[in-house]
Amino acid sequence: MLNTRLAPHETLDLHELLAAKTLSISKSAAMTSFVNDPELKSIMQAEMQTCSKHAQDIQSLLNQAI
Amino acid sequence: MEQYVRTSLSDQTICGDLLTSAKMAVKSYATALTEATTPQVRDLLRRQLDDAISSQEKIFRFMEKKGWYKPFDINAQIQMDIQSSQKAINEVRAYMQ
Repeated sequence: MLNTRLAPHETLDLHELLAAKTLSISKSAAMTSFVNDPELKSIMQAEMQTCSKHAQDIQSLLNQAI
Repeated sequence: MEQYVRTSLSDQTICGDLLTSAKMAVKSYATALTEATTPQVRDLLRRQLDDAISSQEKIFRFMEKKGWYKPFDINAQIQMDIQSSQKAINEVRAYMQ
């Protein structure tokens, strides 16, 4: 891991983005069970994968800040 | 004791929620990006902003295809908005009784 310090406001912005991501992953996971349309279901599954990848990348940047 | 319990959400409601989040995500990334200094942070925000834009379009196109959005017929759109808004209000009223 690169040892880069983040500016305080960057840390806060990343914190906000990560919190929003986490919420949307949890919400999508719960809501897919209500979905009838198979296309919508597959869109949501793809979204959850992208969001998880994003969340992990944000986590690793934030790990440098603490 | 709960008198009225909502046990499901329509595909349209779920999609509307996804679209709202997707729009919000694009704006949050853009704002964070214009304030970022660290190159690594800028790179990450730029990549994720790009994904957020694609994701918003994907959800919107799906809704447009389903007829849940009528970008070229404002009258039909407003009518639909009023109907679904009223439906939601009525559900709340039923719950409050």
